Amino acid sequence: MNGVAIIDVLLAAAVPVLAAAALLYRDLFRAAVVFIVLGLTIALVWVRLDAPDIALAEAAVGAGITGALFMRALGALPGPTRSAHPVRSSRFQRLAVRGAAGVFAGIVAALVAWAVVTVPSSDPVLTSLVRDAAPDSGVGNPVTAVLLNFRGYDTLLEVGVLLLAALGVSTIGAHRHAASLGGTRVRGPVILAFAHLVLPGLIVLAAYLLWTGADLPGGAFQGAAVLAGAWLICAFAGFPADVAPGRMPAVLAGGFCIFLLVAAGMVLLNGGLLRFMPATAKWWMLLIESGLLVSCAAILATLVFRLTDDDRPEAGR
Amino acid sequence: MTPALLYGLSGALLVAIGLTGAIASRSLVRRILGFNVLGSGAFVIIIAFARRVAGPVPDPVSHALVLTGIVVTVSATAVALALAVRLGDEEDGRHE
Repeated sequence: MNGVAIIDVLLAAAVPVLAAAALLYRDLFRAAVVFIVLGLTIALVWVRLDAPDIALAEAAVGAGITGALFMRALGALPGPTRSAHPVRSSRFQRLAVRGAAGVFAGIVAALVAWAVVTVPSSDPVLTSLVRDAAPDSGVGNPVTAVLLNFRGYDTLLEVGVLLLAALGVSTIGAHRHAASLGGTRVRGPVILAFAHLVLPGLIVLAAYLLWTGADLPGGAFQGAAVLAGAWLICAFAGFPADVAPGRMPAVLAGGFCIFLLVAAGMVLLNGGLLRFMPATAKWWMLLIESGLLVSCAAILATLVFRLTDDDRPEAGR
Repeated sequence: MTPALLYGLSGALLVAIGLTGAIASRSLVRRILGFNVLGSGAFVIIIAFARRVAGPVPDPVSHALVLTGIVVTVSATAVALALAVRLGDEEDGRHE
């Protein structure tokens, strides 16, 4: 890697400043907007650190979906301060808390920075293992090889976590509708024109990210986040984006079930959980990723939609 | 000073800012925001370490770990925000 460029200094300085701004803004809506900007800035940091796969995921999931989640939660929370625990405190108490928090932040920053500086760069055992095994993985992108082949069970459980989160949000959120993604319509001509303009591109982009993830940066999760964004735009524009309530569980869990079936099938075929043969690995992984693309998009869209009800009387803001 | 070290230090600041926000904030939503910043800091440090290894390409195992981490973080954030919204509802009901 080359030396430090000006862009590195700017990015490394901008990231903590944006983070502090996101946490210090009194207005939580502004804080959420700054948080999205922070996510996109960190995506640039990933590019500078030669991690384009993570840059795509950060921009789509870390900034996009998480930002949408915060916006939706803020729209639903009552009160001008939107504070769940209003506590009365004197000016002196507030100053004391701020001071203590500042000292605490300084100590933590110093300790972690000390760790970053002093930890020696160790011999990359795993890196050389991955490099040696990469030709047998069936894909050219080493990150995809690790995600779906070498450590496939990590990804299997990750999809399980996503599924549990969709279940949790659907259970906790107070809804009057059945498992519905509709009813979130935004009125006006702008959203319609915008949807007509970007929807075809977004769907092609999601499929492209899935396909190209085999050899270049990309993959099922990045594609799923883009597809989830397209799904949200569809619903906001009032297009029929809804899935019949009876079919929703199948769409949500389908990707996980395909993954699980392939994992079990590999035990019978090749004698190991998710143990692929080099000749056919690519196609099994493509099957898993195609299922994940649709299911994870549905799960991410569900997380945003089902976080709260739309026709809440107090949410009219 | 290498870029990896520079971004590692930036990540250390993120961890400190996020942890402080998660502990010292009054608003639940801001605490969840702080938790997300803390996570981002941890990811930046991991990837900065991954870039420090010798060789032309960074360590793909760390990259896969962080990719999984980002997806798990969004899951946890969604459930936490759903709980915060529901808690706001309950408190509203109590004051009426």
